[in-house]
Amino acid sequence: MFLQAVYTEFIKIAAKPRSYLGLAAITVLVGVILFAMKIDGLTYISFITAGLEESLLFEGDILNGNLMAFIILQMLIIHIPLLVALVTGDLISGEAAMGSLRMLVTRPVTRTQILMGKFTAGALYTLLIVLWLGFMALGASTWLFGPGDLMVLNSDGLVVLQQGDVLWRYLSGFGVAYLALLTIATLSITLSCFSDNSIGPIVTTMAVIILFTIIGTLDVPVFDVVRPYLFTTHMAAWRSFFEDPVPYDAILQSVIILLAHIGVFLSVALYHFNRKDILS
Amino acid sequence: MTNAPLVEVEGLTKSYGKFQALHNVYFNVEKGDVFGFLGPNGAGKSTSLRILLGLIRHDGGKVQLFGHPLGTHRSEIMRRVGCIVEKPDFYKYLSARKNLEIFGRMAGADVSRQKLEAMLDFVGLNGRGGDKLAGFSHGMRQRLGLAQALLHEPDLIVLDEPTTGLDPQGIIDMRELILRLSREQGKTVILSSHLLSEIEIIANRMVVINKGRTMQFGAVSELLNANELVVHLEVGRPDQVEAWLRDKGLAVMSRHDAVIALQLSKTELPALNAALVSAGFEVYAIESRRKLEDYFLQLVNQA
Repeated sequence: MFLQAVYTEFIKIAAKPRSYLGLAAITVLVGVILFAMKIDGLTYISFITAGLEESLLFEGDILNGNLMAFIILQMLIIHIPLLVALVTGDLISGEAAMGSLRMLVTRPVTRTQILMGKFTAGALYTLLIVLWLGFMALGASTWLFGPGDLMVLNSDGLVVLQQGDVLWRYLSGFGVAYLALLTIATLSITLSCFSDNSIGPIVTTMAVIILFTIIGTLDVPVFDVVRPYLFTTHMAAWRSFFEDPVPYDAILQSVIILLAHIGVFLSVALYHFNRKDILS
Repeated sequence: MTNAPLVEVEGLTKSYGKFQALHNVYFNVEKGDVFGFLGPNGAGKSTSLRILLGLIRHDGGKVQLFGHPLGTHRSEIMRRVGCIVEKPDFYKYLSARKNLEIFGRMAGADVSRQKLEAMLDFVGLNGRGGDKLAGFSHGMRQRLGLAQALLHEPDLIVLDEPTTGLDPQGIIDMRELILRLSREQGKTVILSSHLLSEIEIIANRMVVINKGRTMQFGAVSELLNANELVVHLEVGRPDQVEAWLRDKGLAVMSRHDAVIALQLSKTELPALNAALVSAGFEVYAIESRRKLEDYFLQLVNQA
């Protein structure tokens, strides 16, 4: 019955026009960035490398597919949570607003199965978004700009990664980015359990992300205690795979904190949804 | 266990914060009943039905279906229950057939194309399976609601206000569908409706709820033909008949043209008829069966 719940949830997601907004938005945004960089990319790159050219000699094609993928990810990974929350924040509250939730809850399935079905379908949708982003960022960039070594400017300095050493980093980075987006999806599903309208959980999810990001970036000692435990602090952990050497301990810590958030959010959602009176 | 009622509700209580919605609701539904669920707005009907369907948690009392407590056997029980709670709300962006398939799958029903088409045909939606719900009228949605309630072949069907918003033909069609389910397929039906005439025609047993309490429950025929009947007499010279009745100390309730309504015990009725004829009055009609509307208003006003 759980598989039926997942299947029917995915059918519903697939049939909703808003589900395609995310895919369309990624396609358009990546398209715009690639177009701009194809036309005027060299100016952009020389602006960034201007300060380094006095001490370093750059040879070969710096503006390649790998660098473009990195730039695209840097730019878009901040906006993807909205695209995810747009669908996952609606999974329970949207049905409550529509009235179909009461018909769903009177089926011979437990509420835990209903919620886990929605969570799994939401997780699959998030995966689809990440895969599409990966395909567009890496595939389209490489097709347009060709392969090459990746030059990354980190806070510690400049890292140059050989072309053959990049793909595994992207795959691992996408894995961690997926985990960060799944945390957002779980948060929005949890908020969705508390609401009977579809907009509330989506807006609240974004508000939480903005608040946590501000707390995370504000260099004020009072937030030092909580900062390492905010999920937003670990949303950019995917970037760590592009450092040399790769800080595996820091990445593992980020993964654990993101997983812990998913666990806590899901537990709260299950507790509340199982006790909720369906009045809509 | 086999002789246990299909639905047993005892001492049901529920509050929303400080508001006590149900104080003491009790009723039994037997196998094969078409069970009427009556009460004015805000009486606690919907709350009681939602508790019965596991949509709302009750604070106290016993709720047992098919011999099992709802709290511990919910999924097992709901496999045998089909329902429409208020108006059926479907996924507007999907077709009627896809909606039916989704709710059928979640109920473990056979969702083959053949079965879905047969069900759409049964509720009078043949040929409309591929249409999106956005274009469906209220009556068509009610029919589809009934289809989703029946698809997994439940033993008990709970219909909360299934005729709300339907036109007269829709109401008649829905009534006939319910009667077919009861008579031809032996389904047990719990029917909540504010249309008292519908309950009177369809139901064989009923419960009346008011202010969160059970006022009365039992067989409709017994409740409506209890000792205190409302008798409508259609007579000639109604002014004189009314005066004559009052002289005899009978409780005249009202008079509309030639029809006089009075309260009377069932056993007194033949004697009254004979006395009126002996006194030289023309008696054109005596309607001795108590109307549900009169009975309902009497119960509700008592509370």
